[in-house]
Amino acid sequence: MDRFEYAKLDPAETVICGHKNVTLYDGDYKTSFHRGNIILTATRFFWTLGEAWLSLQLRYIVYIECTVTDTLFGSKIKTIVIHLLPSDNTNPGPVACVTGNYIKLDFKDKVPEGFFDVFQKTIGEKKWLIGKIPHHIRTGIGGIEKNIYEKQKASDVSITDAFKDLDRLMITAKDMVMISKNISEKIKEKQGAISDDETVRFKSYLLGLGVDDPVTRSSFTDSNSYYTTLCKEIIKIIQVSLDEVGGTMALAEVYCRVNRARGLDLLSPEDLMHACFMMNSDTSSPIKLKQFDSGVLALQSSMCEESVVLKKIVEALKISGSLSAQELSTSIGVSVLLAKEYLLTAEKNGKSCRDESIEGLKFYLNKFLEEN
Amino acid sequence: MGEVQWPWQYSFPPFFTIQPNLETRKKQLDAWRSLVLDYCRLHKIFIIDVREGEHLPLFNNTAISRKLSPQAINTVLEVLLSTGNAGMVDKSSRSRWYVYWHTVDEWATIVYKWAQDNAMVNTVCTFYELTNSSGDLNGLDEGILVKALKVLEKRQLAEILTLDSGSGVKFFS
Repeated sequence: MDRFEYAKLDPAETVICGHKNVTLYDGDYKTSFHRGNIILTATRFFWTLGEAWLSLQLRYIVYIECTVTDTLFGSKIKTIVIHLLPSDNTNPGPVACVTGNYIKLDFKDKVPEGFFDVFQKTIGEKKWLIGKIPHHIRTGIGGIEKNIYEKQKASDVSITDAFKDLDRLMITAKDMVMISKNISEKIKEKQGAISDDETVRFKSYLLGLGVDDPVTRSSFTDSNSYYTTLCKEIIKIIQVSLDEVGGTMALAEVYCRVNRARGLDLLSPEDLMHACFMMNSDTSSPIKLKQFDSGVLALQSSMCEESVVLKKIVEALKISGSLSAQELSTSIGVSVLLAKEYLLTAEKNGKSCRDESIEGLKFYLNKFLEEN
Repeated sequence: MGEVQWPWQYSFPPFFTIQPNLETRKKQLDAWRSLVLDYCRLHKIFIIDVREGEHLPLFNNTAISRKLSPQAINTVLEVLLSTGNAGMVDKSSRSRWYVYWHTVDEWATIVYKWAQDNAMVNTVCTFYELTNSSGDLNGLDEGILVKALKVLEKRQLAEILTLDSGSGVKFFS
């Protein structure tokens, strides 16, 4: 009887059959579970009376047999003996101690027609194993691999889900750009209606939205023409700001500005670099990619002559006496990286000389060469 | 012993950093060369130890807190070496250098002239007599003196002798 536990019928379980007036025997001894109902499902056997529910997992059953009882009116089958495996049950049940390896079901009159066969068949099917089978297989390396694969699949699905919204946003954003284009055209037509000042301001907002029709890789079949077109776009975007900063701009800054202008369909650093390399093969390009000796890449306007830069550095050195890259960058408004390149270029041309000390690297006018 | 007339470069911070630009570096090292020779002549310094370099005001301008690093001192001394104005004391280590503000040949000439002027030709005199005489030879490092005398030996104008009380030399006419 210790294989029994307190458990109610799960609504998800399918009832195979049920009968009334059954008394449970623990071994040969009659128990207090008298004349209740029994229910058989695919994995469990229930005995219930009123509020009391007992369940026996079918996996404990080794085999069942009928016993014949002799009565005054001849013999009839009234009892089913159920032989059981030892218990490994940890759930609470009506009996805790082991008394025997079998229990008996005693029917009031006789075992209903066909119940024994159905019971036998249910045990034979071993439905309780089905849920467990995959777990048994999932051991060892194969199991681990399968586990990982399933986890990846799950995260794939969630990532795709997460970016679905973004895709929609991209589609809408394209429309937004279209609308802004339309508005700016309309404004052009109705130039008189609003003041010039407002128009200019509004236009600058719209331009801030970025490039109308960004060059994307998907619209090209071969990467060479993609880069050539991209290169033209970059020149268009960067030319004005390049002149503003004095003709030279480090590639990192170019990257930020170009992607800021595109807003969407951002470029990868590699694509940008490849496109910039195209500038040097095109002789008519107003902007060139320049590699400094240290390997720093920068875009340089063709107007921006080295001699002009050198003159500027010499001027700055004359004013302040000595300059670190940091100081030069603030005084002429370029990045520190470029300022350093300028100073090194000046040094290479004999216009400046260096002073390395605990205070850092500083540059002075090259008095060594000047004196003579 | 007068004070050194420091050149303008001495208070110019980049002077204490070896310049990477070749043209600039040449000018810089030229300036270093003449400064080192002037300084050593004035202070009668015959040997410079690179590791001790920063204790010399020559290589350490405390006024602008700049000093020449040991590697840079070596670079400067190599320039001196190339013009015959320096030599390694010990060939195996590059840390101790002779500074020849007169080249060894010049020293040889000076020694022989001293011998002629003091009527020492065809006589033996000790190193002590030479290095304690008045004039240019006063305080001359013995190592350099030997080198100079060896030059005279080659010219067959002198011969180094080993005496009981130290080394000596005999001058020939």
